Amino acid sequence: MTTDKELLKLARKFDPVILADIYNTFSPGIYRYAMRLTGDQILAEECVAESFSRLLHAFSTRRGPQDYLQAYLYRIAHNWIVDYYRKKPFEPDLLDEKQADDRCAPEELTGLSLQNHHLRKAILTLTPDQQQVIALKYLQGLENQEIARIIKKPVSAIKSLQHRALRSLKKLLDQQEVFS
Amino acid sequence: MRNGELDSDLKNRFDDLKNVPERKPQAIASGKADFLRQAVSLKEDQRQIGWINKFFPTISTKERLPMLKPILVIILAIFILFGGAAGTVYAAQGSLPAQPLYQVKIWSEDLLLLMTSSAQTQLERNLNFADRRIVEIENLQAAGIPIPRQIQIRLQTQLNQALNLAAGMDDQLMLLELEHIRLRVEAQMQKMENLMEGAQNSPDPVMIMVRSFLQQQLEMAAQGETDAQGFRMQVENQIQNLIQNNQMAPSQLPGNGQGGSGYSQTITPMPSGQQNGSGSSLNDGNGPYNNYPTTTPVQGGFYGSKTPMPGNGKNP
Repeated sequence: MTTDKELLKLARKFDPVILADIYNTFSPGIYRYAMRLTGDQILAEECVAESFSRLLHAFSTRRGPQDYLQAYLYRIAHNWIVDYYRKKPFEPDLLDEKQADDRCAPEELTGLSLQNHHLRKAILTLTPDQQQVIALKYLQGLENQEIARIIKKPVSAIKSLQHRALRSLKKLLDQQEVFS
Repeated sequence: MRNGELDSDLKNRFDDLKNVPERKPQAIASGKADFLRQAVSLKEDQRQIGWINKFFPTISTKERLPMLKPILVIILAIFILFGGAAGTVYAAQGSLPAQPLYQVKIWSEDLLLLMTSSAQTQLERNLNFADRRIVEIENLQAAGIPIPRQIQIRLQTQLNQALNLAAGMDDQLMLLELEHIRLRVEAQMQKMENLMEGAQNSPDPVMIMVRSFLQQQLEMAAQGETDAQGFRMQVENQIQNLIQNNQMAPSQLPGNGQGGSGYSQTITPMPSGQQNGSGSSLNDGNGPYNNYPTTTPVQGGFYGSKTPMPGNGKNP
């Protein structure tokens, strides 16, 4: 079985087979991650493209991950999303929500979209580390160990971040409800 | 809410958010194609700049670019420094003792000799530098400036050095070099006589001393051409005297004949590596030449007051 280190060694040589393999393996996860945080298919595709492009540039300049490729890609993708929303205010995209579940009735769809929009907005209001912990843990379903690798913090710190993030998130959602 | 545990409401909301549409196959194919195309392009770029990575293997581009500026500044500084130094040395070559760049000229000569390893080249350079001294005397006289003794001292040193180097060569080569020295010194002598004849007033005392010294050098070179052994003995004696006298204070330097022909103080010992073992017991590898200090020929340390001058009461 090829380890991440071996895979990366070959990827740094721009081996097309290895790179294609990397793309096939990791792009679906990155896409879902971006999709869950943005709710926008175009943005999610853009995020995937940019994350993999940055990976190639890192290889070409002898930087990039030494191990744990997935962690590296999640980090890039998350940074891209944060940067994106730093420049552009968060807006709901109801079309994508409709595509997400076309079994729902229109009135339900709007409600779901708004609810998802509020949750995303609340998540993206957290600190960057908290955002990542929430997204990786509760949206991507990763284990604390994996999250620790991505955020580059010990597992104990991840647990603590998680706790604080959930508390803040709950508070934010409650505030949203009050205002709505 | 305990650490990491979700309440059901939040859990449901996360589950709703998890539910994302499948990625379109066309989008996957297109994204992958773009990715691989980009990889090919970057691989080509990397091949073209591969030499940079070879020279700076541990420096990433992120670090390389900020480093570029200081590197350029350093390169520029080196160019300016060396270019400026080379320009100064070049400009100094025509200077006279009274001028500020003269010291640079002297240093460049010393440096050139220091960097010369071949005895023949060293000899030739010493003769060339001696020629320069004569030209300096000519220019100073033309300008009506008194000739400093510094010129005379350096001339003596350089010609003594030439003879010393010749003595260290094998017989055949020594004869050739001695003839060469004699011809050059004859030309210098001729020049000095012309200058002295052309002088409106009485000749400068330094010119008289220089002419006298040149005469002695001529005699010594001529002697060497007829009696190689005697010439080497004479040089050896002078060096022995030099070694002895070197341990004395400059004020105690002899004018009692120990200096031989009067320039022994400026004979610089030959490095043992430059001795040639053939033709003479003096340079057979075990002889007295090998006892000479192995300092580089023509060092500034022998210049100055330690050099006895003809007619100054310290020489025969």
